[in-house]
Amino acid sequence: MGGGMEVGAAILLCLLGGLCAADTRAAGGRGFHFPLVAGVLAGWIARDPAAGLVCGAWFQLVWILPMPVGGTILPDASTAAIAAVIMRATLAPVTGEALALPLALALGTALAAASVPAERVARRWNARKEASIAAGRPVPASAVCVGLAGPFLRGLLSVALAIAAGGALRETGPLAGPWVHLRAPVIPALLAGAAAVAATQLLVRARLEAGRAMWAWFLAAALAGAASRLVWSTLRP
Amino acid sequence: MKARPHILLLRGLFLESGFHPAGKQRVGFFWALREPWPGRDAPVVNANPTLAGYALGWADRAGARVVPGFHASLFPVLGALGDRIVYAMLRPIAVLAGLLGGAFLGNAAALVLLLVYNPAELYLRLRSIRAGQAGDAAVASDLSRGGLPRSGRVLVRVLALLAGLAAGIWGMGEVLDGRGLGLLVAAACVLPLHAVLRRRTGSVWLLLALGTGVGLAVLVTHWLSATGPTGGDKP
Repeated sequence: MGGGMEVGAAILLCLLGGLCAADTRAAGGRGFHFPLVAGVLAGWIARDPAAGLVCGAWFQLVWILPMPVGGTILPDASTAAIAAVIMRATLAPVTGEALALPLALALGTALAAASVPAERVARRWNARKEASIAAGRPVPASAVCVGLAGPFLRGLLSVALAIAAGGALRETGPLAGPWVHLRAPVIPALLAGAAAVAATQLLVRARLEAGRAMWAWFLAAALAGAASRLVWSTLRP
Repeated sequence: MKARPHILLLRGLFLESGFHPAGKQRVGFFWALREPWPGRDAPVVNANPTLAGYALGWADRAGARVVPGFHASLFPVLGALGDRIVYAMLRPIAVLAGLLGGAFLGNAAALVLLLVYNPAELYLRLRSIRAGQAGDAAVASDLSRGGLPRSGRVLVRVLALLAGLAAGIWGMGEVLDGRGLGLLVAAACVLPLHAVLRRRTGSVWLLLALGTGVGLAVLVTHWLSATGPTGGDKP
């Protein structure tokens, strides 16, 4: 399973996918749906904590201002981050870092895209369930459980699919080749791209919220941040 | 007042579990209230889930019959204010705190994010439930300029501070690691990205395409600069 991934880790990752997908909306949003959290947890389970942080940070930066207003269905970035961690851990030994990480992020993005129609189906199912609730009686807990089960199963199956896809790609080896010798600064480049998108989203939002005083706060903090980073690098052994 | 605030808080967490396009959050809402289901006459319930506590507390105090009136007067306000405070401020603040934590503490980034987000979000939920249970005056006072909107102004400042810190720390890190040219390319990309995203912020696929494009531009810059291809790793 998963081209060398232990069965226990695979099961834990599937359960994590279900938990994060349910937490996105249905289970109250306690923070496990943030891609950064989901990615780090997946990295721990997959014994690849560095990849967990990078994948989580990338999806988190791109989705820094999600606005699920008025019932809008947004792609599920938390399961995307988990899937990316799995793909990266599975493929890196075969393809090398330069190809594994972009491929992993691409697969995660595809899974996030697939989550939108899946969520639409779950909501339609919720509407059917509502029709069966008897008038004059309190809403049964089963109606809430059904609403939780849909996203949970979607997240669980998405992660299982990522494990199977990673295993298949690794076993059949279509990606093996000269890639493993390629050394490219792919992680800083990917994070720089995501950071530029995050900065742009915050900038667009700042046009609505912030006045000139806010820019002064921002610039002062930026200078303080740069100075602290300089001091940190000087003091660090 | 029938239910204790923390019971309403716990049941209110599942407000969106039965979400569907026609009735929105009404299944979770009536489940949290433990009120009889009104059948076909069930009103549409649609608010930001964090601030829906005002409606939950109010309906808990006066009975579910007040929900249609609440819908006409206050649900739109709760939606607009809650989306602004929770989605546009609290969440990015937690994310930036997490990323800053990650820069210094590695994987503790996740813990930092959870520790910033959860207490603040749960406080907002509990505060809104208590105000709702206290009645009209408390709700009106909380939603007036001196209440939550004032907290919003504080949160904007915190967001500006954290965004500045993150930009400064990350930017200086890139310069120290010899990737200053890539940093310049990424920074230069923000202007054209802004021109595109100003009107299309909702398109996440556009965001992904733009992120990939900027990443590729930075990667090419890296390759062209001194840190470019080394000619391959020996197996």
